[in-house]
Amino acid sequence: MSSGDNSPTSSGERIIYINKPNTQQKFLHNRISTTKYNFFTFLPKFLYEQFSKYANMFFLFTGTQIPYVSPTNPFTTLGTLIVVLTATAFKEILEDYKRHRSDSEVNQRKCKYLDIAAEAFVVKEWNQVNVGDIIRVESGEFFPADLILLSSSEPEGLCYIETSNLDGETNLKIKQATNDTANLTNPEKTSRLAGYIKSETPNNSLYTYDGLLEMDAQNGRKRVPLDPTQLLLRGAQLRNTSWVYGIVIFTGHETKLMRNATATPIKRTSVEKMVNVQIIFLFVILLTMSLACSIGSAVRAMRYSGEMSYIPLTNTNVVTQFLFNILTFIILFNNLIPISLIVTMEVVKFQQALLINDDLDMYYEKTDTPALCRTSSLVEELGQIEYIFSDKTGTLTCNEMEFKQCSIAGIAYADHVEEAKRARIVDGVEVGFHDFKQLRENIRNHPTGNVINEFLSLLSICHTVIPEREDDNPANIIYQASSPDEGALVKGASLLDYVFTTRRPKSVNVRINGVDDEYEILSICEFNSTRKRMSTVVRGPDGKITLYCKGADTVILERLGDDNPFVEQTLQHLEEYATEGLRTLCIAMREVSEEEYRVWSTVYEKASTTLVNRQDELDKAAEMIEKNLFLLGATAIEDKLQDGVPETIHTLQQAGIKIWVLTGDRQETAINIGLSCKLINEEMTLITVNEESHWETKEFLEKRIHSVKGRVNPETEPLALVIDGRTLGFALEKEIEGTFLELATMCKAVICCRVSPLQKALVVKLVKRHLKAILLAIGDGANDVPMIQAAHVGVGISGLEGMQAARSADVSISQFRYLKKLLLVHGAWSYQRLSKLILYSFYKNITLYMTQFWYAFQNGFSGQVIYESWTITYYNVLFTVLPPIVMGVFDQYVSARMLDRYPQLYSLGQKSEFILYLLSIYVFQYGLVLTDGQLADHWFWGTALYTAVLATVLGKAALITDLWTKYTYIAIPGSFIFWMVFIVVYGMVAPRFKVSEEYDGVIPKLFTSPIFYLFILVVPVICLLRDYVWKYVKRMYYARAYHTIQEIQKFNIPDYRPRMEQFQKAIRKVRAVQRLRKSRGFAFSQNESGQEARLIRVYDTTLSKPKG
Amino acid sequence: MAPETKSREPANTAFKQQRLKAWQPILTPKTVLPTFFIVGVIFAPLGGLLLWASNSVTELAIDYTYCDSREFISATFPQVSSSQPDIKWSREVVATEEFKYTNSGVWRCHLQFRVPSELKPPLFIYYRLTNFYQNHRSYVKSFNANQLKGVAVPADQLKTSCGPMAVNNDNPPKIIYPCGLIANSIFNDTISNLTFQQNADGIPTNNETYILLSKDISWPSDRQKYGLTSYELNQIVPPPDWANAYPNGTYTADAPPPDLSTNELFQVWMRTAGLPDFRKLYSRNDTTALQAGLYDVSIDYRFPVTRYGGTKAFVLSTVSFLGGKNSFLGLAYIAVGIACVVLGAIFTARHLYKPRKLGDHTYLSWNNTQGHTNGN
Repeated sequence: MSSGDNSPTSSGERIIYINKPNTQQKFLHNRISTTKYNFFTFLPKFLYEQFSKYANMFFLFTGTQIPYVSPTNPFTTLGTLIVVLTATAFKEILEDYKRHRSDSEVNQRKCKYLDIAAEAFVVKEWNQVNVGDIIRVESGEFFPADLILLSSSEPEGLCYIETSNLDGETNLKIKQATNDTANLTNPEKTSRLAGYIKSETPNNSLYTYDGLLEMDAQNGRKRVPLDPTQLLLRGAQLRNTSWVYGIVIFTGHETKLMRNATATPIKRTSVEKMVNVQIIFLFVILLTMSLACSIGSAVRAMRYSGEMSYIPLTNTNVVTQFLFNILTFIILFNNLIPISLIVTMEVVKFQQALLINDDLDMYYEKTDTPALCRTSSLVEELGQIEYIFSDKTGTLTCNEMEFKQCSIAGIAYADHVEEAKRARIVDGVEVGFHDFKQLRENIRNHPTGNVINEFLSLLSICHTVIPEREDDNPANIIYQASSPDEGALVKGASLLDYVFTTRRPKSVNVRINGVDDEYEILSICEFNSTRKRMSTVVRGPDGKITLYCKGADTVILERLGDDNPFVEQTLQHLEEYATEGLRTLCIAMREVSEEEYRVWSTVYEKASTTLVNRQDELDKAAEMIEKNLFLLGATAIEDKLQDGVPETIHTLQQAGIKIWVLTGDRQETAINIGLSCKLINEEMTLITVNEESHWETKEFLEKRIHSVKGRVNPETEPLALVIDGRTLGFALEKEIEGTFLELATMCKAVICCRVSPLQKALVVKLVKRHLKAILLAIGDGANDVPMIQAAHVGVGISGLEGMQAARSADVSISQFRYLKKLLLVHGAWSYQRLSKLILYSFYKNITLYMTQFWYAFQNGFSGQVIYESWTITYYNVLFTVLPPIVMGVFDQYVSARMLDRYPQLYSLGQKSEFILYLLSIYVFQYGLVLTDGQLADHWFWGTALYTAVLATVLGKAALITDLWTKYTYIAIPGSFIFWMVFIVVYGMVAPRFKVSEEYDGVIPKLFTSPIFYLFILVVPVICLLRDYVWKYVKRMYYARAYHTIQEIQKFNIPDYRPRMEQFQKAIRKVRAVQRLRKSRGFAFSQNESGQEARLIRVYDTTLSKPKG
Repeated sequence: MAPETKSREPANTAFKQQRLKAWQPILTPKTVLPTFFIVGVIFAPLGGLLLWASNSVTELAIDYTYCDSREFISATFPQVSSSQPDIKWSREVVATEEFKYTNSGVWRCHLQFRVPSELKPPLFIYYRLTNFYQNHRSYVKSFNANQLKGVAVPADQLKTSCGPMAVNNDNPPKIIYPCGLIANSIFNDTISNLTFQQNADGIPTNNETYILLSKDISWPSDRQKYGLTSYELNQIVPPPDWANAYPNGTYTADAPPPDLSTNELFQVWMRTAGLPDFRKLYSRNDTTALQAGLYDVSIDYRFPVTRYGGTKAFVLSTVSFLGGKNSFLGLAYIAVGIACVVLGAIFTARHLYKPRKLGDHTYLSWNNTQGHTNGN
């Protein structure tokens, strides 16, 4: 990540004057723009883009007319192209306008900057922010540009920021101003600051910064070095800090965030790719047809030129003539390549995207966010997803922790207890839960009341949380915790009347049942990932010294003393919590004698002043006192899942989609979430990969694959793979990746934990490279952006503060559960609709042009057209344009309800045989061989044939339409009626204006001839009879799942099966509980900075903070 | 949040929520089987009717391609057994109009044929050509509408539309009128009226003439497209293939260019046929019935059809309410009707013998654990 962008600025640095105008240098404005075009670049850029598409180039070429070579009217081909380009341009403008609007929304956000003259902060818009401005940012706000932190509301210029938008880490990060500026806590002082900042030039490295603040002080100039600790990046958010002052150093597109934004890659869908392949295929057909006709023409010219003496052939040489003929035929058959298809597809996809946006089922009322489909060209991919790569935090979970249950002294309590789970005595043993009301009761009356008291005291004392009182409502305390788990515990305790109120450097105050007690904090042994626990040594109000300790069950259980009556029950409860996917912590304590503490504290003191290996020394010291603990119980915190996540995952799995969770969390937490959202369940065999090196990883994976392959019954024992970030790093190396992927694809679920944003993208790319599957990535933070961009379809969770992911995603939804409808209904429909649309477009053009091809045999391969040129043009743009669009927008092969009930139907899209099967029908279907028409003239016959072709093609549309809405009626019979009316009017009027003169006189003859009507009736019946029979036979005797479900839908047949299935599942689950694997997550997610203890000692919440 | 911000909640309309009222057609036995029978019941009789109408048309065609060279003429006369040796022919050289200019006569073919029963008017005479590519791309567009209309179009404007047949090889070149390949290659055989030789009983008659006129044979709309030319005589020459009919191949006051507005044979020819085998109307009689008996027709043989590798035939035909003879359509309808009935019967039998329960869950492939219905 640290590959700095070495932009060759003159000096390699920029000088930013503080509180002085920075006009001498041209700094970039803070306006961002992600649009593709502007007013001036639109035309050249657009045309360039369009004509770099082969199809358009081809049509431009056929549109350019060479006299004598072109068989058709010169304007007809160009006309279509112009219509197509106009439609595309319209769509491009519309999409770009949307981008422009979302940009300007960001650009117009408000922030406060220091007006030096007024010595006060004044509101202005983000796009007005300049380099050198001093900005005031308040809690919860985003930084409008890259800033250097000057001061904050917190002691010593500290502030917390959340960088999940930048790197996806949800824990808060600490930034600190330099000592020299930390005292600038009001606008007056700040506006007197003078000097300049010598800064590095803009680059894309998020984690490095070099600068120098040169400020005027009493004793002359003072140089203060600046480093990343002072850097506040655009995209990050200020948290738990009421305000900060910062000086703007990089703006707009020069910010590190924007420098990191890679151009959104253009994604092409697999259907589009297939269309391209088919267009090439059609082009080959076209060439073959042209070649065949040209050869025919040459043969005629050589063998029968005498017979054709009434048509003197031009005396050019045979080869030139041959080449010219090929050209002629290419132009003649050019519409075999469906020019309208591309634009029809665009229109339809655009409309489908609108329908996604308008879906009420995907509208989240709480945040007022509907779904938003940004890249409409990808809609049909939604119907073919085989793998989903999901982020965890913010996507599956709400990132909200809740203290749900606890086990104290072997008795289980829960905040809400369902009737069925209430505590009762079974076989002399108490099972079930008490509720928290009972807990309060028990403190006073139960024999274990004492234990409960200690338990809750521990929760309110042993932590690193900082309490904050709201200014307008001092009774209300907000707990600022860098670890959400701890916050949840403290908050939980406070709800049980153990309210943590005040933190001072050496003590904390806790109000227990209304009585304020002060506890002296003697020592804090911090949490880190090797210790997996934290402990606090406190002196209570009664003067006794107590060690409070909380941590992962494994580490606590090792350190228990001999007299521990509650271990058995607590373990049992832990097991239950784990099954439910709760995050657990064991709570233990020990009374420490004065003497012991005195001895220990010297050891600890010494350790904390060591310069080498201080962390190890501290750990060792802590180890000495954390022993002989007494287990009080355990807590269970729910990492709250978003609504409907387990159901959604279950349904998606039923639909045959494999789900991989990629998370930055630690392994235990990840497994926990996996369990709670039903991604993995008790039946599954977990394969956990934690290896230290390349070779170990390789060996392990190979061994596993071997044993997995050897299993007798792979269906009944699904696998789940859990791999951590480091091992993943090895597994993604070239040599092993194949093996890794092989194992991973054998698993029903894959969880990758502790992965970096880059690794997320690498995993996605790996799967993309090796499998032909369509991948979807879903996430909410900027750390998911690489993954979202790498996948075929990127979905962003919108509605929360961070919009980074949503903005770079192809589709944004506000809740994970909407994925179900998005994929199973919209995706499936889109795919079906587009498949039909594409095949139908091919069909209709092939049908029309095959008649033209056969005709070549009968006109001496001269390239004569049967149909009048303009009429051919109208074929694609008027008479057959509606059925594909209506099919594309309104057709529903099965209703939304059915798709929801039978997720298995989704697999239709994954196997793309559907398309092949239909195509095979279509290709056989062109056989509209010329039949009759000897009496009438050329154009009479041509028009009749055209009508018959149209009737056939529209009849085909009617046959393949599954759902007839009023628009379908307009499109299918409507198109035909439109043609009949049109040709009468057009054929009578147009020749008078010297357009389509071929029609002169044809119409009265045509429409008075009974043969005409009989002809156009029987031709479609003959052509479609086979289709009709085929369709019927397929439904009756070779029925596929969707046939049956269509019938269920049509006749409203009740189906109890899905419910039966669930019942069976439930039974299976009960049976499987015994096989439960022990993998409990414990609830710590805080920083391992090693300075938490120091930080909390800085706070004294009894003092009032500067107002800023 | 400002309280007045507009909600972005999508509208709950049937269109946007994709809940439009709709009809879901499903091909079930209940609908499909009756459809087959209904189509069969309608199409088969309709086909019968068409076939009957087609058969009610009397059509006599005599191929006289080789009348100038060989001793053979083929004839089709469907209502009489083909063994009946009623078709006779003879030929002679006659000095027609152009003899003055060419000094050589043309073949006149005398065709004798028997009409078995009285033919009601209207009666039509066609000529039928095969292997003649009036639909060739260079041919179809080789005319100039303005020139035909009567406008004196200058030579340079004719070159694009009439191509090689715009001007002749003189110096300075003269405009060909009417220009173009179509006009040049006009069918120029002359078909005479019919002469009544014997009545149905074989009794010779006194050579009554059955008059046929080349009037009302072109499309009414076409007649407005042609006019008397306003070219000066010395500007123009007839097309090369017309040369024989004019002195030294030029137009003179005595042999002026034809008045195209009244020349319906020319107008018929100019409306090009779509297929290489076609027939065109030559003359008609709308009033008099043609009595049964033996008739003579003489045709002046000019059109060099053998050189074009094709054939030509003389066709005498009546019409039905559907037009000319065309059994194909009737047969097609009958075939479709029968096919539908047969299919309907097969499927009905199958359905009665082994009905399939609609919407049966057991057909869902994922409910069959064996998975034998999976795939394919």
